Amino acid sequence: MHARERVEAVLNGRKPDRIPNFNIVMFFSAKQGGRSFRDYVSDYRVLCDCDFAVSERYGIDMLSAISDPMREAEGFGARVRMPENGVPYSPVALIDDLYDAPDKLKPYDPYNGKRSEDRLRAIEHLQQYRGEYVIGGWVEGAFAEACDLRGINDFLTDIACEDEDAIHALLDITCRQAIRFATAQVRAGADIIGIGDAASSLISPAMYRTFAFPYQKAIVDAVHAVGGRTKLHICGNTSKVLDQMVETGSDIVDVDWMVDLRAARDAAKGRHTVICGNYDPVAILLQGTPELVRERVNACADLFDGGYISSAGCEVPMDTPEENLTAVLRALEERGV
Amino acid sequence: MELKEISLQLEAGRAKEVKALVQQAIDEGFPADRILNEGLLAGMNAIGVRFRNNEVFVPEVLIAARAMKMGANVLKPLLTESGVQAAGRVCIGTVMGDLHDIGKNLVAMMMEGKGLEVIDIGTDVPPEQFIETAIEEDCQIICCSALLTTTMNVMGDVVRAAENAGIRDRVKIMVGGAPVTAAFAAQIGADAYTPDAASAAEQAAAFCREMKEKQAV
Ligand code: B12
Repeated sequence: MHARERVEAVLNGRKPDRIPNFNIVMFFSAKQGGRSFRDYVSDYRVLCDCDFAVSERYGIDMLSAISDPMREAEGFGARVRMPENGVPYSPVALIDDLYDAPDKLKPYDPYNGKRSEDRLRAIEHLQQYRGEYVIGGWVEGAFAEACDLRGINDFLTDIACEDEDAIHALLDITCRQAIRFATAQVRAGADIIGIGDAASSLISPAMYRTFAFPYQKAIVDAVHAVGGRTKLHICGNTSKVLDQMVETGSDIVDVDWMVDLRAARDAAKGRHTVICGNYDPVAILLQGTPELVRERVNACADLFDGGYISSAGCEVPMDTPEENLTAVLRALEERGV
Repeated sequence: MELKEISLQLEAGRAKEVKALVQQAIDEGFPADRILNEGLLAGMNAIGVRFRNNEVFVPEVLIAARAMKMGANVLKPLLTESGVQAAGRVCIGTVMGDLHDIGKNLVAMMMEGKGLEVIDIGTDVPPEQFIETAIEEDCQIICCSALLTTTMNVMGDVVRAAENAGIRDRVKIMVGGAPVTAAFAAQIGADAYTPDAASAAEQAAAFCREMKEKQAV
């Protein structure tokens, strides 16, 4: 089987030849390709070339146009700094007053001549490989995007004490834009849209229900409506909201290493949700040995009988030894399903 | 009224109520240091413990801290007047290359909740700036936060910079953040590591007491 058949098999409840490998590579990919991270996040050709080479070499089954969280915020007008070898960030939040959000944030065409468009170009460019690979898109979840625009500390304060309607007004804007961006990516040829909603791991289950869940579900539904699939990815400890993550209807639920993978598996029982995860990217991939990697990849996979995709809990760290990432593929090939 | 009412409202993050209650306590003649300790700081302590136990999450701590700040502003003139001094001075920042600041902010807030004066120098802070601030602001403690494995090594640079500047025997250096461990702290020569904000504040307060006692003898 090639990567596309393998992933399709798992998503459709059939047996693949081996468990797919969905490791997220960004910094690692740029470094392997000998490019600065700035080039990687600002030129789709660099991103595509680096990612294709890494996927071929390490047996990663999805080619993803993921790079950093600031593409959407920039489209809304946030000033974004791009360090040569750091993650792009916004030194001052665009929205300094929650109640100004509806006036300040205008919806925009993702083909905006900026880095939103650059992501769409990446997806178009990756179509040359779609015979073999699945192609991944990416959007910030509505909650994470609100944090990017308002500043995460301020927005987390807002949701605890400001007017609920004003909070929803902001989330509604970021959600609509996410849907617009996500559906454009599906039309450009993305099979699976990753929805990154990192900040939603920092709030209580009750707040998640009110401020994160409805918008995650809306994005999932919108992607489904245009024929795409979704992977909900939340960095951090989401143990208390696993049921809600599954309830969004996302085809894939991707959990970070702090989550008990058994609990994630059980939360998905009786549904078609595929679980993805979750060995520790730092302690295992970066600091571990090939033997330890093999052990942990197997320990995760052993919990499942189908419905599972292998990955570290989050991004592969930049300085991960090559032999450790090779060990992931070896372990998966060795065990089959 | 009872001062406990202040701490309960503070725990619930009700800034306006806290402000009003502090004023009421002043009007009823409670001494400033009791309002501070039994009202504001007690409330902040309680929320820190509940956060450590995963009973409340980041937003709840942020609004409690905001309520504490508003209450403290009402109290400040009285505290200065009655000569109540800060228990110590701390400078805190997230190290160079790292932009994560939620944890650092919580640590700063909990330290203020222990009656310490905290100078927050933000994120992406180069080692020299920790040292300069500690000297200029006469801090007893330097706190470094790092959330990335790639940036935690900068904390070792801060320790060395303190040695080179000749202030190592005068300041305690505390380190923390998710990837940091006690073993790592020992390895780079830091004085303390704690896993969460509440214990970080307790440790800092203990250091300040220790250093004051030493000065006294
Ligand atoms: C929110 C978040 C972000 C936000 C940060 C916003 C902000 N203003 O802080 C954004 C989106 C910007 C971000 C960016 C990145 N992130 Co990030 N992020 C997180 C996340 C989800 C939460 C961190 C957090 O705030 N935790 C809550 C606080 C309260 O916990 P804490 O910081 O650990 O603090 C507590 C204790 O550690 C302690 N403490 C903290 N500081 C100190 C200091 C002292 C002195 C003491 C004693 C104690 C102490 O007390 C605190 C309270 O109890 C974590 C995942 C996770 N849940 O850990 C990833 C995580 C930290 N990020 C990670 C990564 C890789 C990145 C990026 C490189 C990703 C990328 N490619 O885009 C960039 C790097 C940007 C940069 N240059 O810094 C990784 C780090 C892996 C590693 N160990 O190296 C994590 C663990 C995710 C993962 N599993 O891979 N991130």
